[in-house]
Amino acid sequence: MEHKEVSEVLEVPPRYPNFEQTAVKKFWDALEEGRLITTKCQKCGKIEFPPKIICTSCYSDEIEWIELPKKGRIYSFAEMNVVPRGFSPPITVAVVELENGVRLFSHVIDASFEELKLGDEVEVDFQEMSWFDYKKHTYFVFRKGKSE
Amino acid sequence: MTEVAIVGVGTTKYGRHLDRSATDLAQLAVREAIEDARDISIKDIEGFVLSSQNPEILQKQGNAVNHFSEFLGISAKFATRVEGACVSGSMGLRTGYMAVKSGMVDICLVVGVEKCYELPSGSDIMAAFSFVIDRDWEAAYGSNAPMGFAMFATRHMHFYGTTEEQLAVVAVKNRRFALKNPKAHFQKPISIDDVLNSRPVCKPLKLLDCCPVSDGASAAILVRGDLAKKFTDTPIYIKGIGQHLINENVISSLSDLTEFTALKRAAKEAYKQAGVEPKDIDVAETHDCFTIAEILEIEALGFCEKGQGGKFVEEGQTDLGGKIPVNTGGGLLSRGHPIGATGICQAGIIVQQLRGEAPEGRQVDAEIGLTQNLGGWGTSQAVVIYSR
Repeated sequence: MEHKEVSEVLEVPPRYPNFEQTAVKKFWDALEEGRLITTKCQKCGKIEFPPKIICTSCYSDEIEWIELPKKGRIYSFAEMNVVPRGFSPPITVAVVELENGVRLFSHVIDASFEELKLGDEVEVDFQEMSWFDYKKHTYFVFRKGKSE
Repeated sequence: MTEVAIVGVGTTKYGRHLDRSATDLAQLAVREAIEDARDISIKDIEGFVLSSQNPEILQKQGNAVNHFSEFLGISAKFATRVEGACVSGSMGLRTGYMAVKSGMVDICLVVGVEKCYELPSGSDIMAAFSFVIDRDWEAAYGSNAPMGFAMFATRHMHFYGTTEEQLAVVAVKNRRFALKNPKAHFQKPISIDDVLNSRPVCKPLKLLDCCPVSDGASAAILVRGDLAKKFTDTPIYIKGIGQHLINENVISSLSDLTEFTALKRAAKEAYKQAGVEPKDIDVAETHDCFTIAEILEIEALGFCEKGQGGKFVEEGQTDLGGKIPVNTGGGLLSRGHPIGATGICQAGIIVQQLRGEAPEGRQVDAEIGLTQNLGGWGTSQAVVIYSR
């Protein structure tokens, strides 16, 4: 079948991430210190994720940085079986809703697709991951912790 | 108000065209559209819209609108290229529609093309497609297109009891239609078991829940309504054209992963313009890039209630003889998905249905047809309504 000829390995060309964007750089620098932060508008109170230098709701630039909670619940999940070179499948991924309602996307490092269900409690952890540049960078991941 | 009519459509076969360049494919589709109309030559084209997702990476070719105009022989007083990932084709139709509707041009050619099997390997092609999702917040962690739709599937299954078997029904139905469409990418029948037993790509989605990577081009000629009869005996009029883009591009930003919210808004606009309701639509081509997408689409388009899509499909309501036959051209799942061409190909299939020219086995007695095309995680949507 023609499908099969699409290779199982895909290569994402190296590209250093947008570290020069101020908000993103600050976010990544905080990850190195084990902190998960984002921006909050001081005028209208909107919390943004991904972090931004201007509020997308009221367009104020009076932005403060806040710490995000480290606990949340599985909002949805999937298991990636076809992944780029540099990653090993399968990778369980999830959208997690944190205690303050902010949602994040990342890997779930200690549970398979079959071991997860919606609403499961998870914690944010930090782990080195390969990036486009094939270097390791600290990133946030989810950990389900011991089950039962 | 000026009406806008489609007077000619053309498309290449979709599939792996190892012996054709992107411009070859575009030429073949345009020639067919010109021959489909009456008394139009390439010299009559006043407006040119090119829908192509990624010639910069796939062909290493920028300034695509100039590049293609050379090979197509087009000299136009209105020309532009549009790109919005998988909805590029319908964005192109809408741009051509606006050019004619505004009076800027009387005749506008809309061409969609994507040539993927040109990069050296499958992995390069997949890498090229990873450019359409968010680089920093999704692609960096190994994601690609199936991931977001799998997230929708997980949640839809949980809340509405949608099953993998119901998803498989979509794939099997669309393959059956593709067998009656010689231009479809896949030409071999598949069974429910084939779908269920195909290898996982992004659980809960399996290989046969996913559309293939295809090469192909499609074209449509749009003209001012009062000129339409000069160019064809069977003009098909665009009665409504709605679009909606929502500012939720990263998968974690989507406010609801059980529905296509942007589609509900685009559909509402299109239905309003056309003065029709979902029950008035006789045939529809929807964006089934993954089986779950077709289920979310028939719900958002109002063909069935939210959450009932799986059951609706299982009952055969989207098949011939059902309430609303969907994807009678084979859908993206089996017809194929050359990104920029898809929305224009969908229009061609509806034109064929409304003219009564669809072959037996996928012919619907239809007066009003609809196409729906999406980009991103369903957060960029376009809906077009057509009638004789």
